[in-house]
Amino acid sequence: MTLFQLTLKNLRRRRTRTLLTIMGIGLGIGAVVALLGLAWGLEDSWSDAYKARKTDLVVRRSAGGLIAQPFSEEITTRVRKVPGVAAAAGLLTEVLSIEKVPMMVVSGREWGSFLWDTLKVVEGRLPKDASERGVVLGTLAAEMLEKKPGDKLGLEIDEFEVLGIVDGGAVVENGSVIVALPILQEMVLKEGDINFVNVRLNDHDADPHTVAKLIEKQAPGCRVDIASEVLSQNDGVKTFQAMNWGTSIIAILVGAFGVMNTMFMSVFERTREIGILLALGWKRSRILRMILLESVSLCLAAGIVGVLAGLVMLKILEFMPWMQGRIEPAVSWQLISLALGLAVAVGLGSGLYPALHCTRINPSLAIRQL
Amino acid sequence: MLPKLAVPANRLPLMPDAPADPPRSEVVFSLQDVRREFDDGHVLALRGVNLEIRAGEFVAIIGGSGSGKSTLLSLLGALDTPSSGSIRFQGKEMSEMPDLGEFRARHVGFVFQSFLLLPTLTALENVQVPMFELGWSRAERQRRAGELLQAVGMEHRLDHMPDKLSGGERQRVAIARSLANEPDILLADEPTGNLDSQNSVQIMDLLCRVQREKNTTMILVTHDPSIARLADRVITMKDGQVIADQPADRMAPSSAGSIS
Repeated sequence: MTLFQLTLKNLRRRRTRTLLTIMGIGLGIGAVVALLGLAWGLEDSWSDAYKARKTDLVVRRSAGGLIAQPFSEEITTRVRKVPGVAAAAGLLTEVLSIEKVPMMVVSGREWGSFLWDTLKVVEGRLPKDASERGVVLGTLAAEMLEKKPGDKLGLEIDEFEVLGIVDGGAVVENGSVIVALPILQEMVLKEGDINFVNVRLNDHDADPHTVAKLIEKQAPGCRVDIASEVLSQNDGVKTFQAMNWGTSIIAILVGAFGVMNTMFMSVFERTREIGILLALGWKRSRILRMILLESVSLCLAAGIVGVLAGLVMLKILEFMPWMQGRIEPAVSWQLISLALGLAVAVGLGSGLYPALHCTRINPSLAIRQL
Repeated sequence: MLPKLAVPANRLPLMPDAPADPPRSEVVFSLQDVRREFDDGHVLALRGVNLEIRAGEFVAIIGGSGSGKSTLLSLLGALDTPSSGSIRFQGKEMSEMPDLGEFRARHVGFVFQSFLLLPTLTALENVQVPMFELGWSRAERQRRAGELLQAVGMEHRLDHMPDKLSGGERQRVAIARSLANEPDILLADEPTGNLDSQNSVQIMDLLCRVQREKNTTMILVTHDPSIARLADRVITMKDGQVIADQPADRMAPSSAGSIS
């Protein structure tokens, strides 16, 4: 028999209580996995989109929001002249309700820019020029809208022909409706405006941070971010992540108090047994370790349940219409390790007070308890 | 799976056999004016106890309910500390010992009236509990626990939970457990208090055999004069004080009942 086996026997004694406690903290851990999976997924999805577009820097208005504020497309011309910039492409991105899909990214792209080069035509074709009133759909968008080339698509008050279906190499690209920039500008009454400039740097001599500073000088009121960091710097995303963390912490705290309650009940019930262990020569430090081991084992089991529950929740969310084409939940070993680490921390934190209580038990009085 | 044991059931395998005529002069416990108060001094459990207990002695402490005999046993076993006075173990002041748990782990074996076995552990596991602090390997703990249970005639109940054992069997397991740490001192608090007369005889026979074979110092609390007469020396307590301290054979015949 080892200390761990003794711990498991203690936990098995009140199976229902143990299971309910595991469920309680497990739900908290599950919420952490699901919410962080979404938050990280949002960042990763957009980061992947920029990678797929081979974009190094992103120019946008300093003012925040999940969808950036518009500015003049004339900025694109100024950006192109900055040393170190190989190419710049103006982009107007809107989130619109399209037919039966409540929220969909519509991306108006400067005609002839590199943003069209990264789209791989799967079916149909791309527009012939900037004035052709047609759209191309990412593969996911086509699935969600149930459209194929030649079909009509209602966008705001207009109707457009679906010209082709494209693979953009990332979930955000594939979940988008893509049109030539002037078409979208006219549709949403933002003629002459864009809200992003995607920038490609010269391969050899351009330091992204140096070029970013040069661009900021040429584009007053705009900020320039390294493409992989755009989302993490976005105020809307920061708020989203803060809310996720807030919700997760509340869920974890509720679970942690549940574990503490369980551990307190458990040690109160076993005061006599702990007195016996002390009488038989167990050091108080070993009693402390035993109770902490119980608490950590309980929470680790809850962590495993929580990770599984979180993964199931993410899988379900992935198929929700409002998720498709926008966020691909990020499930990584980092996320799972964080969740299990959090479970262990909760176990240690919530078991410490009951464990310290045990070390103060007077064995002589404890063994006389009925 | 335990290895087949070569230890005869009537032999205890713990320590090297005691010498035929062990020295009995060393004082193991020396108590001077020991007092123990409870409830802020409203209850005086011990009122100035003075006594010495020597190595290898079998001492019975006898007295009625509330006489302070169990409190005294708790102090000797370092389960509790005196409110005032001095208790020395082998010449060392116990109140100055840095870790009384270490003292209990190394020197003391307990046998309680209500057995106090851990309910979630099998007999074999219960006997291993005191060995945790001794630094023995898991295999060693298991082997020695098996030998001890064999020595107390419980080899056929190794994997039984306490609630599946009779009272006599539980006390045998408790005795095996009390010997697990190879103690110098065996403290027994009414070890037959919850047993019928037949089991009482068997348990006392077992305890006496342990005490004799290992030359263990045994201090036994009882309210039964017939059990006290099995000891070398009987200390009688009343109202927290020692009122008599005499060899067992000098006890008044009228106070000697029978446990059989």
